Amino acid sequence: MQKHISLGLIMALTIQFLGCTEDQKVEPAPFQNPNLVSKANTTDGKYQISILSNHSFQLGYNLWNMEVEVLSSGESTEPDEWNASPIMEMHSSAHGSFSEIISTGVENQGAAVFQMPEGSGMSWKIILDLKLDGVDYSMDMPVEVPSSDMPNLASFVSSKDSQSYFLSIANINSFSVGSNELDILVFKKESMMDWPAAEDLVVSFEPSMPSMGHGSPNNLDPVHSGKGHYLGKVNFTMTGVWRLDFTIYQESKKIGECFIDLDLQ
Amino acid sequence: MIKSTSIIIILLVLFGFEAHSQFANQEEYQAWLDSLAKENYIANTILLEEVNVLSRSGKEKDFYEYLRGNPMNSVDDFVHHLPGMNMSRKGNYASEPMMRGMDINRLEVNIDGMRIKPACTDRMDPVTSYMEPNNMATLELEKGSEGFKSASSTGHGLNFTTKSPVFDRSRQVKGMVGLKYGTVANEFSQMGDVNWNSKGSAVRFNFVNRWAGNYYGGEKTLVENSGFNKLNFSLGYSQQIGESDLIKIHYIQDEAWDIGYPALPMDVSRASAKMLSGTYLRSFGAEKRNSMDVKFYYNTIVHIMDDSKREDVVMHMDMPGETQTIGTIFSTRLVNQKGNSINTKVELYNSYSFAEMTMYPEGQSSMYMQTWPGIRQYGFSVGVDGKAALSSKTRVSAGLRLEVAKMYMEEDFGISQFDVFGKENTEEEFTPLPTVFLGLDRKLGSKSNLGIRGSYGVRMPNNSEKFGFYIFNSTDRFDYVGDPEIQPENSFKLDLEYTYQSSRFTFKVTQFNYYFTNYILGVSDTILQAMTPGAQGVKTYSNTSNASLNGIELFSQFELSPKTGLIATINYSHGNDYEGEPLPFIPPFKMMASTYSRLKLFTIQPEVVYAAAQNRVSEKNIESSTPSFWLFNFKISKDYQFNNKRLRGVVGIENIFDNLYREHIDWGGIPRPGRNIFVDLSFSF
Repeated sequence: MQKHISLGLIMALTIQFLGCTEDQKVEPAPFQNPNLVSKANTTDGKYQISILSNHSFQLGYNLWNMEVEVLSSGESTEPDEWNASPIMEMHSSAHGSFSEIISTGVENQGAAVFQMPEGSGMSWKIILDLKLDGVDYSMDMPVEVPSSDMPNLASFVSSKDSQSYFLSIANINSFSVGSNELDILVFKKESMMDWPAAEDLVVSFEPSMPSMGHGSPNNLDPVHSGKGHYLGKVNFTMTGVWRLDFTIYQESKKIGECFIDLDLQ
Repeated sequence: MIKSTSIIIILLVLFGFEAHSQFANQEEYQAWLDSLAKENYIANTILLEEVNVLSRSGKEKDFYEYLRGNPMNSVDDFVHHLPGMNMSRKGNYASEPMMRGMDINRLEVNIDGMRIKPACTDRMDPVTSYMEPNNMATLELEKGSEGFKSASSTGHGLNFTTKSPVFDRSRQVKGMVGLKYGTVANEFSQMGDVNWNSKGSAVRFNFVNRWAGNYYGGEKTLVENSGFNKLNFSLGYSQQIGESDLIKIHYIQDEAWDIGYPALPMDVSRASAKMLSGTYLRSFGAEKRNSMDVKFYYNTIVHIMDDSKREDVVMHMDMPGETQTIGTIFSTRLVNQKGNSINTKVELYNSYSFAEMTMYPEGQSSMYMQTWPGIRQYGFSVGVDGKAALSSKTRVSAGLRLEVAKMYMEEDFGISQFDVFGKENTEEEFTPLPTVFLGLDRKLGSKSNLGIRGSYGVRMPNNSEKFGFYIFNSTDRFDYVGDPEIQPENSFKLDLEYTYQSSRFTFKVTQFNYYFTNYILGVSDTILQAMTPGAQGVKTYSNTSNASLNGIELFSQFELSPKTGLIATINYSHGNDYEGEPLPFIPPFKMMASTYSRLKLFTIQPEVVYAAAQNRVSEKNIESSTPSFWLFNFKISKDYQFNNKRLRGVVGIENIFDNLYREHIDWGGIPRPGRNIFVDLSFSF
């Protein structure tokens, strides 16, 4: 019975999460139990910048909030403008990744995709460029991205133009048994520092349970809704490990396939 | 009169009793009341008419006495002997009663009128599996929507009444003990009951303990995973208040463990039922013929299905289920001088059923779903029925019952599961379930009687049909999904019955016809993918346009001499689904003939059973045809009576020629038991 109650609670919370979402293309989850991901002070000692998230950062798509605190008063303030870019620093080189700003103003929310885990001599940071009270700041915010057995990330090389594409589920943390909105982000690698959204694709997918060999009914293929996000519907009939097999088409031609595994609780 | 009601009453009263309905004076009435109290106060008063007829004619009593043989038999053993009844097996335990080819979806089984919800999604625990004959007093089988004792049904009702503590001024303590052993499954049974009474208080305790290993089918075919263990006990307390009031409290507990189900991919590590009821009963009016009673009850079932003892399992899984039911029943019975009667019953009930499934793939997190996602059902019903003589030759019986019920999912998890199909919960809906019946009986001469009975009934879809979620059925290897939007099923029934009874010959033939609309059937859904490993598809429970079921039942009894009799029964059913194809699980033509001879030293009872092949099979259910079979059984018994005590010994042999056979209604094609030799000893004091 304990199990039913706790599952019921999880469901209720999930429904609340979904219920609170604003009418945006990417659903920013409200930060109810924010996790501090990274924190740094500006060099002039005026501000403290924090990156918060509902979950610790994982491979793939991560939503985060930025908060700015005026150190002298302890009050929070809003940047005039800001931008963010995730950078992986390697031994002798560096590369960027996909990043987007979801909201600015009172709530400053962004998202970043990490395509590889950190390792020895390799680490991720988010470079925040802010204008606070007319002064420009550039902050290096180190973040931890551990490796994972089931990364929320898949990639394929296009059979059409040999470009590398990456795919991640933007709302994977809201999934539960039942019918779920599916928000997939697809982007490609133009250069080490240029990772634009892929907006001209057709995506079909099929969920299944690898250990059972069955899928689920009534799923809806995601359709592009803007900025590389594709919205559809995915149904899960039980908890456990699910695999989402994606097939990607461009101009009516199949250009690649990939899958993402997830452990549904 | 029993002929005119088509309610079959079986007296399971161990010591026999007498009942009289005409009382010359108060003294005689008191004697009658005492005699009633001897075994079952409530059952006997309510069933006065039928009991009276039964004890007067003596013949059917003999028949049932003979069938009953010994209380050491299990419920399954004697239920399948009833005309029209068959027991469908999944192993050697908890057979499922079927009536005229209708399964438990169309059979409401109650105990003392109490509603009980089985807790197994795979139908491993019909209510009959939680009963034992040694705490049963009567069994009423309502064919068609007649009667008002059971819940709304499109098929029929089966109500067990339990034994109550006995008031017997001559004997303060009495009881019995018994032992039985059978070879085919190495099965032992031990049982006992004891009754104590004094000054208006009475207590009865009984228990049965059975255990068996794997059984052998015919030709020494070992049926693995078929053993079981069971303990059933009950405690009853009755208190008389004044001359006409009685309070009863009754508790029954049934515990079974390590039960094998060879026809299924899973076994049951524990099945537990607890039932508690309190009843207040009052007799009133002229000669206290009228009665009323109020009952409050609660019961709960826990059923733990798992496959931890099976080898070669692709993936282990647990499928526990539990139900709780609470309810109250208020009923009255008014009988006038001429024997015309009118009954009313008001009932409130509330039940909760929950079942879940957890699968454990190797090296991965477990997979969880709710197969019965917290199903709440509650309802209210009002029923009235009666019987009256229109003339010396014609009697009429009629009844009307209305139930309103609501059924919905309580678990948010389960509601989300159905989002996958775009189906919503049904919390807002009250469903009306009306039942009406009318019967006419006319005497044709002094020995013949013609009866015609019609009824209309509606039933609520059951848990699995409405909210079941990927429940595997091993008979057709399909996963079954319920439909929250499924509609109730309706049935129209017409029975024609002819009875001839002379002093030495009884003959009764019943021709029955059912026509169902919105008939609930699993219909293959090619869009959905099976979930259970090895399943070949998914069926969704759906309202199919119609189905029909027709057939014939024949019962005859010859009294060859005062000490020798012959009984023969014949049953045949024919069912068609909405496409005119055969319905699944329709028993073939079946015949049973038995004789009993009271010889000087022993009573001997040979019996022969024949079932034709069933070649009308449901292709939709991937049914295969079943060959015909013959069975021969023999039983010999001896009673020693002394000082109001009785020692009875029975030795018998079932399936004498060790035939390897199965019945068409059995699951999984498993064989029925082969040759079984049993010894049965009981001592009554």
